[in-house]
Amino acid sequence: MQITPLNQLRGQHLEATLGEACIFSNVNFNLENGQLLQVLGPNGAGKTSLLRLICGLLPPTQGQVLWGDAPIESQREIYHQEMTFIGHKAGMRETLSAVENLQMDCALTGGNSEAAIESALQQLGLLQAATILVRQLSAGQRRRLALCRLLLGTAVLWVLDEPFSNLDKDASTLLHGFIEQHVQQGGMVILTCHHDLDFPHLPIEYLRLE
Amino acid sequence: MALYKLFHYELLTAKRSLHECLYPIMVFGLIVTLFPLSVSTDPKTLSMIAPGVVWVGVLLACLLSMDRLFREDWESGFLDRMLLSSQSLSVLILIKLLAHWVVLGLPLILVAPLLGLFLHLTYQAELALVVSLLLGTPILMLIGAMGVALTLGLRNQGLLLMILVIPFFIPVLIFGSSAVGSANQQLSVTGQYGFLAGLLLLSLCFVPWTIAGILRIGVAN
Repeated sequence: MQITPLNQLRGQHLEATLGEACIFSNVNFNLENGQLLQVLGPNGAGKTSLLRLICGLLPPTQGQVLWGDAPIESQREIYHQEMTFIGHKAGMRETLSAVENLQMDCALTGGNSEAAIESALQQLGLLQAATILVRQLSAGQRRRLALCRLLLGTAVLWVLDEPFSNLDKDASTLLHGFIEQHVQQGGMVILTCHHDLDFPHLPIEYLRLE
Repeated sequence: MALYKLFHYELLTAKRSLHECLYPIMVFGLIVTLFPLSVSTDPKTLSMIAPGVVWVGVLLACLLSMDRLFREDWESGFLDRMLLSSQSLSVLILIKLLAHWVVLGLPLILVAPLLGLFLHLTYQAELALVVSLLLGTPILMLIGAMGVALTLGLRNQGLLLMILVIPFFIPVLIFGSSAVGSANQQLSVTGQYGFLAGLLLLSLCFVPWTIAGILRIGVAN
């Protein structure tokens, strides 16, 4: 499956502030189909803020994020259909089960069938835990559950904040596979990660925050 | 279809923590029972203060129930996903509020006439109580939700919420309790219903949209 709509994500002169303090300023990047961008920087450099800014959760104090030719704020609904964000928090309802959470997610993003949910759960090894409430899942299982959303969505752009945290070796290999496949099919991925990524077949772009 | 599904899961989430939904109703019952004990047991006095007492009780119970509206979703990161959904945020908020009203507002409306009986309300007044609550509680919840969105993530959220929101409850309280009072004296209540219905339409039009804006700003900070 090849992702057809060619698109481009650009950040221009981005600046974010927290209260009075400037977290980063004049950040520029350009991401096209089939590219992987890793955001690097020490703790507190603003990696998470940058990702939230790219998603549209945080308005930049200066500069803009463009999806195609238009700023993301002006095409919020289209942009959110084409983007998936997985942040530090899993974003799952504690009192719903894994399956129920994914079904709810499908209702939020529009579409997808029971079969797709089951296959996603199976791929991430959560089929046994599917009907257990999220409250009772371990941190790693929650992370795996959040990653199911990558398989369910039809998003072109994946924005992943520390996607490898809490994952065991198997899950980490799986995620590497998902990312590689997505990029090879023409998708775009932006991620933050503290260790070196293991993608022998993919060119990785880097964005360094001081 | 997708919206119905979301409503279903909102209800399910509430059902799984049903005990939390029962607290406001119990508080409502307790507040109202305090009055016959402290003011007077004279039926005439009680039926005179009843409209105000029941309405203030409902108001406080609504306020108590609002606390959990967005907090869990904010803490778990689900709110981010609502903001990033391709569905319209104000529609999502409206669905959430509708589920909240079904789980918390409706039981209050069912319990209120029972408490009205304790306070010797007449049959007409009981009817007016139910109608005015059906019109009034959604307004209370819409306004309360706006307060919750504003105070999201602050310390002492509950207290601040009360200070912010109670002044805006006053019009609803005035028309609601006056409807019950008038019906108790066998006067016409269409005027009060009209005002409450108008307020409800007005808040339905503007509040979900306002909450969406407040949440977008709140999550960014």
